[in-house]
Amino acid sequence: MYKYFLDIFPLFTIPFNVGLLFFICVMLYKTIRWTTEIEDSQWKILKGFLPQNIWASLKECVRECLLHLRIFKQNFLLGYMHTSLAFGWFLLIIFGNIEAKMVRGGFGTGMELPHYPIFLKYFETEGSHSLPKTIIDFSIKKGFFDFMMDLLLLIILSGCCLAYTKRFRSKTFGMKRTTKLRLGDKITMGALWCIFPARLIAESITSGAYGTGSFLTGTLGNIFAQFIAQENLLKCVGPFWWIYSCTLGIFFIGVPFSRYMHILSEPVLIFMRNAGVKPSRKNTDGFSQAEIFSCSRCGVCVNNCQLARATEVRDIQPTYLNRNIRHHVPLSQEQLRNCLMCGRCNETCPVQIDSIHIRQNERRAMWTKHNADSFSYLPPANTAENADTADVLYFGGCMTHLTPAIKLSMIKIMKAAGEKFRCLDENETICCGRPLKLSGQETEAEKLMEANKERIISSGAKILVTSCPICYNVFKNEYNLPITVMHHTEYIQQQMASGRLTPEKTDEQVTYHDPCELARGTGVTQAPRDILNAIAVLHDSHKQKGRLTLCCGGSLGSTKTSNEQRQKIAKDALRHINPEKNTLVTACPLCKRTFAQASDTKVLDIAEIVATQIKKKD
Amino acid sequence: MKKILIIGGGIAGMEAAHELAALGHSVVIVERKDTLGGHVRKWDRLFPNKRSSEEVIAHLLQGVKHPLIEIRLKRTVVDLRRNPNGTFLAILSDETPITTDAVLFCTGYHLFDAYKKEEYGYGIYNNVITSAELERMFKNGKVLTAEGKTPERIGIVHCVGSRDAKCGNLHCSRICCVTGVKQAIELKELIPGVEVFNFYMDLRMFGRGFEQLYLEAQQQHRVRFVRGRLSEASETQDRRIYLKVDDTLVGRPMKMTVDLLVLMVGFEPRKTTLPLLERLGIERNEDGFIKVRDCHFDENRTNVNGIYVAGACTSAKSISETLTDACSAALEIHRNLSSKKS
Repeated sequence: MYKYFLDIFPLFTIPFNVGLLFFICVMLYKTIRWTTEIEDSQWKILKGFLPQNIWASLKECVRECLLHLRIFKQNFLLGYMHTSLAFGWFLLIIFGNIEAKMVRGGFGTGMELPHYPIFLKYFETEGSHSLPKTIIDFSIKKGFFDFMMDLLLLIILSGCCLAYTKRFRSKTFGMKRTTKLRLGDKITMGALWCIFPARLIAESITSGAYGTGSFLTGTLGNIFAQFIAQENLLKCVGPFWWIYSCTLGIFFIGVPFSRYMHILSEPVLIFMRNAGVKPSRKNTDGFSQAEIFSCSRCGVCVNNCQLARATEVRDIQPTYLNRNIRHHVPLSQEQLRNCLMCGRCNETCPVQIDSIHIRQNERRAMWTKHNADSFSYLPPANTAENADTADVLYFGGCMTHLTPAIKLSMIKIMKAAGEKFRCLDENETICCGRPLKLSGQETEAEKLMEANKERIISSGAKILVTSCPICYNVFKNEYNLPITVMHHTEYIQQQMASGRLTPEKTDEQVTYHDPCELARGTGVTQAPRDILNAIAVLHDSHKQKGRLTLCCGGSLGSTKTSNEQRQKIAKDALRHINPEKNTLVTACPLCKRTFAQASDTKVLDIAEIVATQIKKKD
Repeated sequence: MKKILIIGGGIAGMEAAHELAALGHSVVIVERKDTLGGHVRKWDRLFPNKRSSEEVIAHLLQGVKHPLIEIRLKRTVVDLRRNPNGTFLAILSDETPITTDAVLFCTGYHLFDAYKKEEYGYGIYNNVITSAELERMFKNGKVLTAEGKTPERIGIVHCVGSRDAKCGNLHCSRICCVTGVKQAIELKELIPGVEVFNFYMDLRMFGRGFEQLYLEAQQQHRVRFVRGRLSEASETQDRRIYLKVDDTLVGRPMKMTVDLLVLMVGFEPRKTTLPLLERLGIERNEDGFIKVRDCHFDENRTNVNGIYVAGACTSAKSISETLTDACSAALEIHRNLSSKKS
């Protein structure tokens, strides 16, 4: 009886089984915690089980957890490394299970023990004497499966080799530097690195001892057999299966303590996202927790961060932010505040973690005291005075007031279009509130927003036009205004399309820079291009555009970036955006200011170039 | 006899040429403009004693009338290389080669491009002018607004493009403080009853007679000095300039309208000489001005042997400082060349 038990449950499988059990327990525990600890409606979790949502989640899991298509888009080698490990391992388990079924006598023979397919080679040979075996056609199918298993192992091993290379020579991957590791990461990564070489050796020795195996394990086994006597090889079989089992066990136990936690967090996150769960204003929220644990610290954000690219600031990126929040390491002021909040990391994150939201939550939590009197001086909205016949309200914003050429151009444009308009912030400028929001002082920002909202609504205008994408973002996404909000690029394009505005075409060669708040923040990328194609010669071949645009460096999101660093970021961005030194056209007063001071070439706002091209009517 | 090439025919170049010729060296001055005198030609009267700039230039022109001094106007140095024997070969824009034993950079400075400080409205509002443009008005004897009216109230903004990290200029341009005071007095003298406001961060009256000038402005001329940086300027319906400024001594924001706004533009390192400097490997400071070997003992030599510097190409300097520097550069060159065997 004991003998039979050992045959199906050899002692060396204990580390693996313990690890797996632990892994599954953690997975269940975390899944339950995260899904129950969301501040959003709990009903949404149930919504996740609707067929279309489940289907979407499954599809995304295959695409992202197994195939890692987003990483492929970023970087082919990095994508291959992840796919070979994740998808290769997944297939290895599937094929292992099918083969195990065949060895055990075909399908319908009941559940396998989980370790059986994992250590299949062992059971085929060592444990085989007491197990029922043989089916018709066995050898042919067996040969195919052995071949497939060896092929998959080879693919995974190639992924492992890439992983070793990446760790020690990240430049091969076109990455400047890979992420720094914690102790848990190091141990678990060490185990992961050893799993497949250990499996290769264990299988090869077994193959060598019994004369089985396909092109990889079989060949390697034959080589072993040539140098080592069979009795010695037989003695080695047990210990090497022990090593393989231990590496697996250590890996599974290490996962919850390391960055590999993303393996079991990501499906939960994908499920919640497809269920429509929204993050709350606290990072203790189940959704944000799932996001934080899903960060695999792949380093893609470090590689795309302009602070890292241009100024060598390499400890504030989302990968480190999420790591510190997860492990309850207090965030430094640098990590909190030295971030341009440009959102480039979100755009390129393979797991699509909203790190801007997470950092914003941390910034908000930083302000515990609020001054009740702040902004008590705000002028009340004088309804009687403000109510007028203007259809369009123009809000330049603080930044446009510092770049008066834009404001004057917009006034000229609106006059040319025959618009009935009024400048909302001609004399008494009230900030839109976004800079305060970005710094985490949302209670104070609300006061400004209220004051502005009152003024806007009481004016009775139908459209609010802003020149500053920073204002535009907050007016559009957070004010909940009952009137249309437009950025001036959208407004100008609309006026041109309707024929109210007919600027002439010039042969000036221009390059367009997408302001991050406009392209990523509100998704306006086509309107400015339509305008520029109509009135100038637009060169639009550079890669850093649209949602992947670069920050000019002037961002109001950071209160820790020095002027010197900002200049470096601006100059670095200009090298990528405008190497041919055309006239640089942008659509944000802050981008214009920052670039004008860092650039030798002409920098214009799109409104300026439109205004100069408007025909003079006699 | 040694030959020295002087790049730049401003006051530093003229003074150095005069001294070197007096010491018996042959000198070539290359000047890109059609007259000698550089920036000083643009100024009307000079601080601290209101001497006419023409007097200074006439004096220096007298000095360069020397048989050993050759002046090449409307030309620039397009290439400059060191020969194996330590001499230099310069190629001028008219393709003439000049072989010299030493080169003296008197390339001076650029005035800050006030358009880069867009919030002050230069280049956008017609009644915003620079200090250099005000000097031109003084030369013409009339200070009028763009509409041809006599201004009743004038604002003078100090430190435009100087001590401003956002413009990338951390350095102090030094002479604008006293220039602002001098111009305020001149405005008061020229336009009876005009109100003049100087907006400053701090006033650095470092030279002889400067402090007296500052006192004179306050006591005799009632020039108003407001400590605070201008935050923005906009134009009113009647083309006047509406200012928003913080009075940091009172601790309150302040708004006012002026008829004319004068921006005291600072010194910036000259960008046009960059290719030459880079080709020769001449080091520059972080602020972009040419680096001298030692800030106390070796102010006229660069890190490259045989290349000397004088005047405002190494830092912002007043006229008297520039002339002293030019003399010292001439002596330095003379001493070094004389110790070499020809």
